Amino acid sequence: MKTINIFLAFVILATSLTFGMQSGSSPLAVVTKVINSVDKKVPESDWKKIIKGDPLKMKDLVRTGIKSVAIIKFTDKSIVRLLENSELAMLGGKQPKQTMNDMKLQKGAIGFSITKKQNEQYTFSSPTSVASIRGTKGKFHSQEELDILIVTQGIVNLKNLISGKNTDVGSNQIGFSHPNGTLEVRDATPDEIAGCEESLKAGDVRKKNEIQLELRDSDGTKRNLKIDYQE
Amino acid sequence: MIRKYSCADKILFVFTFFLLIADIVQAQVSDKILSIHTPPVSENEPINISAVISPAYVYNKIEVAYRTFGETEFKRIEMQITGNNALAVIPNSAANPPYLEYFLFVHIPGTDQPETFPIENPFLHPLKLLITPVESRENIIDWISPATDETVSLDDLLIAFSVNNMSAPKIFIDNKDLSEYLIRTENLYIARLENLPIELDQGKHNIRVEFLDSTGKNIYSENRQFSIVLYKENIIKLSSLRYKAQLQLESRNENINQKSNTYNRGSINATSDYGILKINGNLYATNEEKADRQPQNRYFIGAEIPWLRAGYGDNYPTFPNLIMNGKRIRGLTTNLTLGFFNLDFVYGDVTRKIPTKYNVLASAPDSTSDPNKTYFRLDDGRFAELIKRGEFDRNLFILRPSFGKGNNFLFGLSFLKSKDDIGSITQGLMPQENFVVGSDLFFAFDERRIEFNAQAAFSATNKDIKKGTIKDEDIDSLFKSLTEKERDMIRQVKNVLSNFMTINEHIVPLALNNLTTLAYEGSLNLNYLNNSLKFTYLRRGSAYESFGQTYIRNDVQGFNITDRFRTLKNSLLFSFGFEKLSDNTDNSKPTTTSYTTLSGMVSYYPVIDFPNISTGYSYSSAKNNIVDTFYRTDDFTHRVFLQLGYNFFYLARQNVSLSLSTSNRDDQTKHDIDSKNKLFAFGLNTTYSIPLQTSFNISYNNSLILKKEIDYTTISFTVFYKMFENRLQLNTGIRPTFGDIERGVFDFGAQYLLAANFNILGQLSIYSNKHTKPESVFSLTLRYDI
Repeated sequence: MKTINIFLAFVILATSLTFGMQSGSSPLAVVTKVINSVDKKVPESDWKKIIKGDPLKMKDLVRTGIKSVAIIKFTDKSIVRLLENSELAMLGGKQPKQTMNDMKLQKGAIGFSITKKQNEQYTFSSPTSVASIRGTKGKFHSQEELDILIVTQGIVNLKNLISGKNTDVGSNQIGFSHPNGTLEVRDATPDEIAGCEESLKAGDVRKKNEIQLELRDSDGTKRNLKIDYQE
Repeated sequence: MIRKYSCADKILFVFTFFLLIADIVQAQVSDKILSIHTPPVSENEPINISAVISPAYVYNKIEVAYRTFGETEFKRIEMQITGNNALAVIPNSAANPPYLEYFLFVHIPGTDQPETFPIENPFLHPLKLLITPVESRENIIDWISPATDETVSLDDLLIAFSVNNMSAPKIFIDNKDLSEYLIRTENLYIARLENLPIELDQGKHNIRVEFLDSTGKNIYSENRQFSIVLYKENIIKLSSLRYKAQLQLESRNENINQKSNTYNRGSINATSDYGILKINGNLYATNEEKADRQPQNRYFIGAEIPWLRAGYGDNYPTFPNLIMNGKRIRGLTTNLTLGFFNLDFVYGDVTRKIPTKYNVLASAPDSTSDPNKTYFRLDDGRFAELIKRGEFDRNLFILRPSFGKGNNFLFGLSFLKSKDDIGSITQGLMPQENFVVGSDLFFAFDERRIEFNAQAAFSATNKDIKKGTIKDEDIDSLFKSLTEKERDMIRQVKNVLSNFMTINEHIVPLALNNLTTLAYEGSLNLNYLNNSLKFTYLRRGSAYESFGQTYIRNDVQGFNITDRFRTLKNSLLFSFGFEKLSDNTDNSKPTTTSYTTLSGMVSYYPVIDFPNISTGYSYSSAKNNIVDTFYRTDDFTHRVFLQLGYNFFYLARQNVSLSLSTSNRDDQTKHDIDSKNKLFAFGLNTTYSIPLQTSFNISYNNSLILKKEIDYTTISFTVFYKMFENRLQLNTGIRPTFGDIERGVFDFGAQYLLAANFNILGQLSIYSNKHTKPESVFSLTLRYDI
């Protein structure tokens, strides 16, 4: 009996210590790239400039200025790009049976590329909507008058918090969530898809290419034409 | 004048007096196995077990007997002996959490029974090797950046990763240690390029993250490649020849039992690759090579491209374990892997001829001759006294076509033929021949959450082929009791089968009753809801035999169930096992003995700063229902096991381990062969900020076998120190044993880097025994890495 008691005590101790650890504030992600003006605010402190490699923990806020981008990478290789004039709150967090990476987009837009992983889910929320994401790529844009979700890969469940309605937004579709509680989904136009793809590359280094052409004018004089472009 | 010793003097004194060699992992007293080393093992990884063996003995062979959790049967695999080291690689299929149990068989010439390590009661008290669940090991590092093989610009490069359940890592970029530049936030580690004292050129680079134990030994590492690209420039990749090699020369002098022996050994290991072509080779030569022993020199050269491998020399090919596993062969080994179709082919010698030694007698032996000696008649009619029985040259051939990539489906057929070369020696006894045909099947569903494995094999062995295939007329005289029709059928069968092997009255099986040479086994593995449930059924006939697999347990049938349940983010692991086996598969024994094993274990691998703990219990029994005769078996054994490990920092990096185990076997028969064993072991390894490491181990062993108690304690203290920017490494240590066994070992060693990649190593060991004069072993080694 004594042996059983010791064993149970050990299991209870191990269990409590393990769960205790899980409620701690360990980093959720890392800012791997900063373009122009990006700030971070941790609870009970002021906004500070972010530098590449800064970790993001639960309740941290990140904001970008004009023509600014922050690339945020998670340990499961998921990537979130915070586009210009945007603000994102890291809400966490891990639960016993699954990891919920909740983020609240206070304003602006994000491009997301989320790795599909068992027991792991991402949610992007705004005052109007919640997008529940697993293994997808797309863009989530929160505006005062409506939220816009474009999906280029996978399926995202979009829920309107006013009405409680929800709908799936599939690949190459665009979803709208209105403050009046309505939801609508339609196929995205090529321009909308292209804009989304652009968001998914925001902050990436573009390969610079150069083409040199040797031309002759009517007098036979050589003229060089140099064209620089980015992919 | 009395000299006062300064603190530094005392430290130096302690230092040079005590030493050691880093890992005395198992402190079992044996004069043949000096120590055993096993690296940390995770699930489904091959397990390297290496032993340092005493140079005082000649070894016929050394085998590792091992079994996985929940199993009763020990499988065996032969160790490769190279100098004073013996190495065995246990297949990854045996690396199942929570642990593997093993011990060694040491075969010495002139002894009937092999010695074991540990010496006392190894079947009931084997060594234990904890196997880390693969989920835990895979999750050690979560990489954030860079991605695998990512191409990034210098501006974009960021190294970031999080670490789970491990101490602080070391990081190397292109083999340069940059650990001090790592920035830590909780379990997240970041290195910013602008802070690093290196310049990365365009091209491929490597990041290596290492975790060391308290002795400085690498316990886990991961590599990640990335490429730096400078835009506006074209990158042209050129294949280039890459190679590396290690040359080693060793001379060893031993003064054992008042005899002095010198051994000289040399080895070369080399690998190279050019594009997709890889070539590797090794050569080991020693002055221990003798014509009256199996080969001590070893060599191998092999080449491979992604779909074809071929090599010639000494090799240990792996086939389904009913066919061949863990046996050395000298010859050709090839493997064709096309995916939908694969072909393995092996041909070579598994035994080298050793002539029979005998003395010719002037007259026939009579009643006055020594009855302990063996006499036999030569072919010319004279009589001879056998000095040492010779061994035939035995060749072996295996062909195995298989279909499928093995990810979700694999079906294979195996054909083995092995035969003693009758003409290879004179006066050889009972040359043999073996033929095995087998098949194996594997399939998996649902992302391998369901796996099914099965294999079956049928063998035929001729125990004496000296007289060749039987003649038709001899069948009449040998099978008088049968009818003429039955004898005709035997003649027809003989005529067909003699195309494959020698057929005579010594062949096994002679009949297909009870299928004594049939073996089969199958297992179903289910991985759902954090459980890994495995059910295995096996049946091996009493006469099943493969010359490629000489260590298999025959005459057994039954089932085995194991389940592992993980919870709390894989930090808590529950393991259960139940096995029920029985013998007498062909009803040829007077009784059937049942073997039952029930085992359970709990392992805790904390995600927090807390000791890891493993504790387990097992009950095993063997019983038959025969009345109280010689054949009666009725015993049961209880075993309890507890192991704790903890890494912490107090003045220096500390690693402490504690293990307790007991076993109690109660023999209910009149033989009353009871046994009890208790083992307590404590270890403390310390790594200081200066290049100093110490290791202290103490173990207490108490055994009661056949009412005789053996009680002893072994202590070891070792010191390892580096000087002159690590060019000189010193080690020293003592290992005394007290109690019923009294013995002391003192070691001193040094390694000096003479020039780039060129090391000289010296090692001195002095053994003091209670009843004999001190013995010593000294070795000098030159090692050059290219």
